[in-house]
Parts: sequence; structure tokens; C-alpha cells
Amino acid sequence: MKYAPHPRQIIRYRAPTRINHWIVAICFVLTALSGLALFHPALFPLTQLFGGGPWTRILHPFIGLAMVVGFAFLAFRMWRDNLPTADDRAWMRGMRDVLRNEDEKLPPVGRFNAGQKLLFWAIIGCLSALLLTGFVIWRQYFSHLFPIGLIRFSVLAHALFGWVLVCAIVVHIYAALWIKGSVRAMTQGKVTYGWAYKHHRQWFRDILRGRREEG
Amino acid sequence: MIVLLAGIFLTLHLPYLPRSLEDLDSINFALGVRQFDVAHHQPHPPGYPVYMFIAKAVYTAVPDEARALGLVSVLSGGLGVLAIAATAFAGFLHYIGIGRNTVNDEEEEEAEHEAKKIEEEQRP
Repeated sequence: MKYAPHPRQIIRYRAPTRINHWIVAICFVLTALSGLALFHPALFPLTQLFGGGPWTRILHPFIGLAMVVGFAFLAFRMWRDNLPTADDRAWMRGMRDVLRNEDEKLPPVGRFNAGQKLLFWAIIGCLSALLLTGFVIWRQYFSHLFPIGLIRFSVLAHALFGWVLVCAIVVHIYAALWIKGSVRAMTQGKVTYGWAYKHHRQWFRDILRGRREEG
Repeated sequence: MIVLLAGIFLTLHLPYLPRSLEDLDSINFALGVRQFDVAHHQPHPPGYPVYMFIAKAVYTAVPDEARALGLVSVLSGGLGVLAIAATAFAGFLHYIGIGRNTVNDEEEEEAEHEAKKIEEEQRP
């Protein structure tokens, strides 16, 4: 039996959150491309996107800083919904069901599932480390304040955390494409009742019971 | 299939690892394997620290700078083949509709029933 062609919808992300998310996303792409250009000789041609090697070196930390500030606002909006709960462990144990799209076998999920929460905290960890090490290796303004040993260590740590962050974002994008309706939630802001019920059942119930607001 | 592609890549590249250093850049990288010092262009800035860190680790097992650096590049290339092929394969699965997590009409209907039930509970 076919259900109504236009199922009811819930607001998943309001406009300020979506704008905030896409500002961070654009900053991430620019920071990642300029960072990759400095990461390995084979990727050095990417500097042409930023006006050459010196400009890449100049712009990378400023765009990175904009990304960190942007994400700080996003984290302030979302941190409460990303606190771990008892059901998260059960969700992680059911990873096989997640990969098989058998959501009905998983515990009811709140606004974010355990994977999303893990990503959230991983991004916070990586960005914090990138910020700290980035200041140490920002030769124009700050490096003279630190000993050479710490600068060398920071260069290595910066590259490693950058690599972890890029991997985390690749998983984030892949998951967004995999769960149909997620990208639309972050572009248009709304999801259908069916989407909310299937992927974030506890969040769906809390909204309908008036325990929390949409968005 | 994906592993096979990576295997073919490695088979075609591993026998032809460089036996010598070819230009100034590769000499700088080789010196960096011995002693990492960006200030002395070992290698030149920005220093490529992860590449050098891995190359130093490989150098402990393969004590030849040119071969150690070449080995890192070839193994990275092999991993790149794996990643590209896996992405293409996943994209193909999504294209033909396998794997993607979608919401069907029955699930929309189930959600609507649940919503109506809750709405009735909420009515005074």
C-alpha cells in the first residue's frame, strides 16, 4: 500500500545552523586543499589554486582559524545532543546492523547516533590539536616564541591530526550520502516523519511529545 | 577485485624501485632520512614530516635511502589504488541502488501511525 505522496516533515536543522555548517565546510575544503599542497611533494601543484606556494602558506592558517571559529559556534549549538548515553554503546555494538541498513534492530536514537557523536568529538579533538600546533608552527607571528624541538614536534603532530581530520570528514560525507535524506536535511532543513522515525526514533518521539523543539 | 588491482600495481612497481637518487630534491629527501633538519633543507620546507617519518621507519628495515623513499611512495600508491577502487565500487553500488539507506513508503506509514498515536496521547 502506498502512503501519501507528501509525508509530513520535521525541521532537522534551522537556517543559522545550516549556514554555520556550510561556512565550516567551505573553510574545511580550502584548508584541506592548501594543507595537502604542503603535505607531500606530489600534491604541491594544488598551490596553484591559492596563487602559488607563498600565498598557500600565508592563507592556510587564516582559513584554518576561520574554520575553528566557525566550528566553535556549531559545537556550541550541538554539544548537548552529542553527549554520550547508555544506548550509544549498544548502537556501536550493533555496527553490523548499521552497515546492513537494519535500523530496526538498533536502540532508538536521539538527535545524533553514536557514530555522529564520535565524529563530533573527534573533530573537536583534531581541531583543538591543529589549533595549538598551528600556532606553534605559524612562523610569521608565533614560532619565535617556541623552542625548535617543540616546533618540529608540532609540524609532525599538525600533519598527523590533519590527516585524521580529513579521514573523519571523508567518513562524514560518505555517511551523509549513504543515508538518503541527510544532505537534504542540511540544505533545506527538513526531514520526513519516516526519515526521523527510522534513523532518529527517540528524537522523533521527543519532538512529538513536546519534550524538545524542532531544529 | 580491488585487492587484485592493488596487487597488480605493486607487482609492476616493486621490481623497479630506484637504485640511485636523481636530482637535488631527492638528495634533500635522502639527507632528511639520515637526519631530519628542515633548516638545512633536509628536506626543503615545509619538511613533509609524515612522509619523512614513515620513510625513516622504513629506512630501519631497508637501509638504502633511495629504496626506502621509493618503497614508501610505491606502497602509498598501492593504498591509493585500493582507496580509489573501493570508492568507485561503493559509488557503483549506490548507483544501482544497493547499499544506500533509504526510507520506503511502509516506513513513512509506520511513522505516521506512531505520530498519530502520540498526538492522541497528547490530546487533553
